[in-house]
Amino acid sequence: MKIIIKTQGTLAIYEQIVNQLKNAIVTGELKAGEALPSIRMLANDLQVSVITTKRAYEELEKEGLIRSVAGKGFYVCEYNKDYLKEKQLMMLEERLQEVLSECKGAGLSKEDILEMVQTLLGEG
Amino acid sequence: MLEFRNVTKKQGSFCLNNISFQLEEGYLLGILGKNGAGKSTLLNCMLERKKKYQGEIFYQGKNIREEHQWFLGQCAYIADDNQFFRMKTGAENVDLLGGFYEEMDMDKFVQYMRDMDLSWRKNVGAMSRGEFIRFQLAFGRAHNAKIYLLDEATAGMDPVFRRDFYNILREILAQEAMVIMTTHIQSDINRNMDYICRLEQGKISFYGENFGGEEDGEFQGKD
Amino acid sequence: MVSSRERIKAFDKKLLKSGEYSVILSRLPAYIFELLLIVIATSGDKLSEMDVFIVMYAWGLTFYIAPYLNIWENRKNVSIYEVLKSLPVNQWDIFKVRVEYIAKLLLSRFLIMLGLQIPGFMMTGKILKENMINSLAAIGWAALVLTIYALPGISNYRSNKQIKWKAKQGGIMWKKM
Repeated sequence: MKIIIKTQGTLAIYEQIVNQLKNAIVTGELKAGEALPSIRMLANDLQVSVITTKRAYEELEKEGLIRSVAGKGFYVCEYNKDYLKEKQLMMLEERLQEVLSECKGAGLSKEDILEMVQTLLGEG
Repeated sequence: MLEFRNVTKKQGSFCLNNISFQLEEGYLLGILGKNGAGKSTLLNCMLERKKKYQGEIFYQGKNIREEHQWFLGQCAYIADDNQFFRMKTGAENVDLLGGFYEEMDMDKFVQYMRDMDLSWRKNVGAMSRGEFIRFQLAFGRAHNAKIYLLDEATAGMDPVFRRDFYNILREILAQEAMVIMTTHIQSDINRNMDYICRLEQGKISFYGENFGGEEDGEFQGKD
Repeated sequence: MVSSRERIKAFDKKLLKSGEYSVILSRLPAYIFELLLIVIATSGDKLSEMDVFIVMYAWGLTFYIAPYLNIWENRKNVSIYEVLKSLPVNQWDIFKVRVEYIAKLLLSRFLIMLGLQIPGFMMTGKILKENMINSLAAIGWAALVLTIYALPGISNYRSNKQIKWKAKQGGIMWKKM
């Protein structure tokens, strides 16, 4: 799978890596038990520091999505696909809620918001 | 591991004030600082024989004040104004100077030069700045240096060379060596660096991990 | 474990072999000055009248150890200590090896000076005291000059002021004459 780093974004690089890997796991692109590239190899491919990829893997490990095997590297955990999807939906809902609150606070009406969403989806 | 413990040095206009930090093998430290902030002084503390500084510097557990010659053997110091034999070829330099190191491998040197598309039969004095830097990297790798000190090596690098440069550094880091590079150019600090240190007037104003956050904001005032 | 001294000597051998100018050519001035050795050892003059020759002879001897102390690069003189600055070798060990070379050089010259006494002895039946004093003075003075010449600090200073220094020395000698 290909990870794409956006240099101009609000997300730190390690966060971008975490998100993209998480998505890949949830969508099944990365299968349970699959081996992940080593911290250094990933850093090489993405042209980032080892600290960055290390932090990304640590985050994923904390969330129980991957595990490290001594001497061998990182592997995708056995997981409940539906449970993960559920968790991801919850997180997205939370973020959407934040954006919606900000829109309301900025004085946008329901129609404005819906229009905006449709335009954006049309482009996406 | 390299460890600076309360290193202070006052010598005329050059000064360092209570510098302390640690760096593990396999990581790249970028030191940013205006000219005169103390970057070269910091490197010189490690390299100079007179060792006129207060505080201690440890490398792999040994105090380099006491084991200085051994430390220099582990070091690869890479800078614009390094001497070498300018009228001799790269290979001749390796042959002449290699005898002072525990292990200097001519075959490896040739291979590294080849990988970088450089001729080892070219006089060192005839090399361009970029070639000279790369030659010194090959020289260091050929004697299996474990700590690389790059003094303003990235100044004036074009983007293509810069990418190759970091790829070479990655190969070096992967072999359990550490790299410290200094620069006075803000934009040279980039996501390839593991740790970033900012020196201002001889003091560390910032030292932190580089997770690839906003390039500017990350180390302007955190930690 | 190769000792530091052995490494330095091996380096010196390679250095001389790879020299820009042939070793013989670079020592040409020295060979000319060696003729002074004969004058010093056989003329029988008082010490004070020999001092110019003694000073000049020491200068001539520096040409023997100069290749171990300087590299001629692009019309500039670079000190060997400068070249080896960042290398794992002790500057004082380098100096000690050079002192060894100086000692060997001076010992051979002293023996030659002694040898030069023999024909005179054969002819007159006595060893000229003045010649012995002059010879010892020449060796002693050369030992001092060469050792200082080889010091790390001096070497670096010198490589920046090479020409000025030699001119100054020349000036001293001309004043005496």
